[in-house]
Amino acid sequence: MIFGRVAIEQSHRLPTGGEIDRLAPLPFRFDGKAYRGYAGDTLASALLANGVTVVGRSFKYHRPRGVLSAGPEEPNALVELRGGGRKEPNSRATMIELFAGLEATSQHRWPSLALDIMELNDLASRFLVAGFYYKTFMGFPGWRFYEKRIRAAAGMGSGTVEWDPDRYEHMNTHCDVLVAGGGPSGLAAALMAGRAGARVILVEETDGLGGRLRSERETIDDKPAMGWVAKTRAELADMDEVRVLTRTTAFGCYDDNMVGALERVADHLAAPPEHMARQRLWHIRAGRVILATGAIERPLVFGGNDRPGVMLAGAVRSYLHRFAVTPGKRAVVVANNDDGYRTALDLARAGVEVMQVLDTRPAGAGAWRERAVAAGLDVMQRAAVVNAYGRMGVVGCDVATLDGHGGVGDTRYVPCDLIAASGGWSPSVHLHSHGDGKADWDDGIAAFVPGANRLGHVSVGAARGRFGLAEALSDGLKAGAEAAKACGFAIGAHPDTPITDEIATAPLKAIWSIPGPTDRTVKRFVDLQDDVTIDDIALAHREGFVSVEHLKRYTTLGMGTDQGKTSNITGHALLAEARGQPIPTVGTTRFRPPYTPVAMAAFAGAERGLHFSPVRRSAMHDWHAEHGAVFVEAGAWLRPQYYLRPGVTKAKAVMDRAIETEVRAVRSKVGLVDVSTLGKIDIQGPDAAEFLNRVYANGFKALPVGKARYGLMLREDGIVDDDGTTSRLGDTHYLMTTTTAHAAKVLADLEWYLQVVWPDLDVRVTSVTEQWAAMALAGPKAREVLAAAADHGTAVSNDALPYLGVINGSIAGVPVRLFRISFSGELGYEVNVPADWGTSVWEALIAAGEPHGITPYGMEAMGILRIEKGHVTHAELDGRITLDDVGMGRMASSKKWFVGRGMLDKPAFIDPERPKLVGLVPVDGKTRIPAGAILVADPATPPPVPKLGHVASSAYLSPTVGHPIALGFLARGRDRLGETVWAVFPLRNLSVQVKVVEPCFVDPEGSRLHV
Amino acid sequence: MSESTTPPPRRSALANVWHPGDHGRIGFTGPQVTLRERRDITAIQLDAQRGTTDGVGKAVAAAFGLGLPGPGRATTTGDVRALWLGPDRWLLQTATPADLEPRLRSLTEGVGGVVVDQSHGRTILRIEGAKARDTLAKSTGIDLHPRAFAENAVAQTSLFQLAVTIDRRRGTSIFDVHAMRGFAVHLYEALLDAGGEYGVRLV
Repeated sequence: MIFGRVAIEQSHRLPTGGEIDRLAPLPFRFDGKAYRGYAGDTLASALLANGVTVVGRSFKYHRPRGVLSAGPEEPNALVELRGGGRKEPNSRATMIELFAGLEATSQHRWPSLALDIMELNDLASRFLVAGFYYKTFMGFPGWRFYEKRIRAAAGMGSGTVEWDPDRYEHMNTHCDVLVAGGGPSGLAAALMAGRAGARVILVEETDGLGGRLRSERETIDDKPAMGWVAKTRAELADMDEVRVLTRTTAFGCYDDNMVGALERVADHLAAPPEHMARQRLWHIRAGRVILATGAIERPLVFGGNDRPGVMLAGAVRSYLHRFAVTPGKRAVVVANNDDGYRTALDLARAGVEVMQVLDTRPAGAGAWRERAVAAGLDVMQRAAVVNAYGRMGVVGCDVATLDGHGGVGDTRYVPCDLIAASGGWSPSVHLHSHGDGKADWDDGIAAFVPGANRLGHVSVGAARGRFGLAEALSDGLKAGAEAAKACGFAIGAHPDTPITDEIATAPLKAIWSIPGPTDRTVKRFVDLQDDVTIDDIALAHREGFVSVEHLKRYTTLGMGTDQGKTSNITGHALLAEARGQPIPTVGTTRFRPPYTPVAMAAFAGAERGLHFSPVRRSAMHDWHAEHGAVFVEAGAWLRPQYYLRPGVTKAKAVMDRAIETEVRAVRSKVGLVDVSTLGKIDIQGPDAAEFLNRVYANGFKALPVGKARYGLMLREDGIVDDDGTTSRLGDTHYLMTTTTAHAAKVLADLEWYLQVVWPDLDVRVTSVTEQWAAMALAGPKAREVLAAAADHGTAVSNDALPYLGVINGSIAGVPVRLFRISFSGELGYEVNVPADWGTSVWEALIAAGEPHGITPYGMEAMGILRIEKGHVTHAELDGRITLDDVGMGRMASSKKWFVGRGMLDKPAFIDPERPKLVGLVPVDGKTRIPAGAILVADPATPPPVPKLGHVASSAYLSPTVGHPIALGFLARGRDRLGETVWAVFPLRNLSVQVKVVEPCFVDPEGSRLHV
Repeated sequence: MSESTTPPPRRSALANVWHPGDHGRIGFTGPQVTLRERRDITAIQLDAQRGTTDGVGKAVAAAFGLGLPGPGRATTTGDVRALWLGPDRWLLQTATPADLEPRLRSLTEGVGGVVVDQSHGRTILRIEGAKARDTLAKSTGIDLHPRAFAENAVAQTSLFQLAVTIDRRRGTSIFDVHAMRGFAVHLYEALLDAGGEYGVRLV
């Protein structure tokens, strides 16, 4: 067993307390070393419990870093989690729930965490200021070489190229009230809205409800606050219309109260159970949004404030209370607010030796301070840590008094292995900001609070700077009730706000940087993830980057995966100090989604692999598959490309032979092809004839009932849009067919004309593509086969069903529509069959054709057959081609107006040099002519070689004429018949001399159609 | 010349893939989703030409005792169900009789009705069960909660990248999903996949 030997026991674990389950020890590995934690731990708390202080290296200077926080804001403790296809770089150890067998490795170090060569950057750091690389290397020869190395040296972990074995999915939901955040204010809001009967969704980022209450020793109604949380959770669980999603982060707010949330369904497990998603992306559409997103504590900026062992004070309390971990044995606490005292008292209570409590504020009274003093703690006011020592973990620090003017008094060394620091709390206004919400500066807490909000989101509790528990609860109750009311629910009696035992706090006094000691230079970090120091900000200011947006991009402040959660405000405040302006004037950068990183896999959801995009199958698909069809994609459709005989394996030569056989069968006997994919549009209404006459370039008014006609429609700019046959089924009833590719577009165009352009026409159009399976029976024996298959009473003689005739008939007891039309140039019939009977009729035709050697054929043979006949498809009608270009100019009616007519005479369309459709054959009688080749007079001409045209489609071998043929467009092509030009394909270094011929290689008179 | 007079049984687009039984994660309470194909349904699209809405509606009401529904709704009388599909456009469906199309044609064509048979063009899957809604919600943004999408509500929306019609039938969490026949296998595969965590019983 891999985890059999546990190297280190949990040296920093408290004997009691916390939300951990001591009966469920979990083995895990970090950088290959075995440890043990408990269920309920995060990777960060488990590492701290084992006395692991260094968990990563910093981004630029490669300085050893430890855990700073206990939440989503973590800038330092980023690890690569799991391996193989499941590997995830930049995972925040503070958010990774421990599971048995967890494996993680540290990042940004080589060869190891303890010895990282790039740490030399730290020694050279006086050169590595903001913009250093660009200033030094960019523009010099070799920048491209250096750039790669420089970026590799920075690096933010490495991803994987392996297939992710897990399932991801999306979920849509709607609610009246969405509450983001499951702390006291969020719970109170959800409770009130839920009691009113509203549909409520509460999303909570962590694995449990309670928010900060999980990390503090507070009471509600004289009982531990977590009891109130449990009671509230139970009440919410009993409400049918309330959904509580834990392990779910609301990461973005979008217009119309759409909130994106990521649920980590199985991230806390080694692997998701079968059929379960690993992560689920929620699209939540809410009537009202309540933001109870809490606040994030700010670090203090002092010398060596990035040393492993320097932690946020609130995080220290989280580790003490929620995880029963003491992050150190001897602590120094430094703060610009009362949380310093709170933390020191909690540390002392947990048995940690509190060496010094430093309050940066000037001397003054306060209930918290009095408590600390009463507890016998050594409190210094107007004092701070000025430098922390200890490369691989804090061993001590210099403390000094502050003179209030940027100077320090005498320093004194205090040994310690933990420095708990608090610079105050910044409300998490990210989601508010996504909704175009303004941020207002609040001097009282030295932070931005939510201001006006276009989307009407309401922030409550700490998210709007109300840090007290009683305030948070009353805020939540009020917002929940108001939101439910706004959604039309009646609100009952407002309950009394629960009673708390809070101690009044004295006001915070902002201090954005603590001066360094007088006798040495120190690094004071603002952004720990991006290694931005106070000096970088000063430099940016000196160099003129005085806007927060420029500062951000020049120094990379706040541009890490943490998006500056612990650094932005301090950085902006320091810029404001440098500019000598108030912070609100300098402003802050706008937050953009996502609040925390979201894996691309979650956005992709289930739509990958088999489910990547829908596949469309014809009614005869299964028959094709059973009879050796090799399928090819045609848009969403799968169509038979050709058929392999049983027992034959797929190979190029086999394919060529199969296709040749299929073509020969159609020309000499009879073939059957599935043409269900052609678009079919049912057109009915008193004005149907007039409508068709307007959308087709050729005339349709005179088409009699029971007849089909080939039609061409143009775009409004005169270019050929689509072609197909349209049949008149009744006086006011037509069936239009379109090409496979343009079926949806043609229908949309017809709807557009009817709804917008000619609302006076009374016509209804409906796609019936799916209703009718369609098959084309073609070849000299086609009539004999059809006659044999047709039921009694269905006559298919040349008189009963002449060329372009349309009749209703019956085959195998199935009512069918029979059209005598041909794409192959042979005697041909198209049979339309209600789709559920498609296979029955197909099989009946195959059976009837057996004596005649009927052969099913696929797209390849169909392509060759139509090229032999010079019939155009989208290879020719490619959106650049006019009727004249394909020799069908005379089809355009001169007696009527039609779409595109007004453009037919524009100079470019009647330019004699315009390429025209021609046939092409290789002069040597055997070389294939590549489709897409360029036609030139002489490939030996020095560039630029004048282009005469291009090859549109090519049959590598026409079995009927015995050599390769192609269709192309050639300038003055009609005048060049009999001449030779060259088809060149420079990408493959091919050039073929080709002879220009008529674009019809078989039966130019069309005699085979009329038999 | 063949002697057949009656058509053979209709072949479902799912004939080759439908394996009755339980699929996915089956908990103590059994599958939370049941999926069945509504086979052999006759489904006729009925349009009213301009200005004939009332006449067409009356003709249908007289023949079937069925009021044509308004936007987003369906109505049922006896064995015939009418779904609103768009302005002056409905879908009438029935399991019997199969002669709905000719009947509608003769009833309404004189008064402006336009009849198009779509019986074979759509595959209809009925999804029901405690987790039917959640299964559908994995891909459609429509609010399927009974407060917003009550019985006889009809929506045309997208589901697993397909254009579908969702018809809420009477009963707890019963939905008919109509999709284009050619995409039936895709819809089936996607529903099985989405419902996998709840367990899917194929009937």
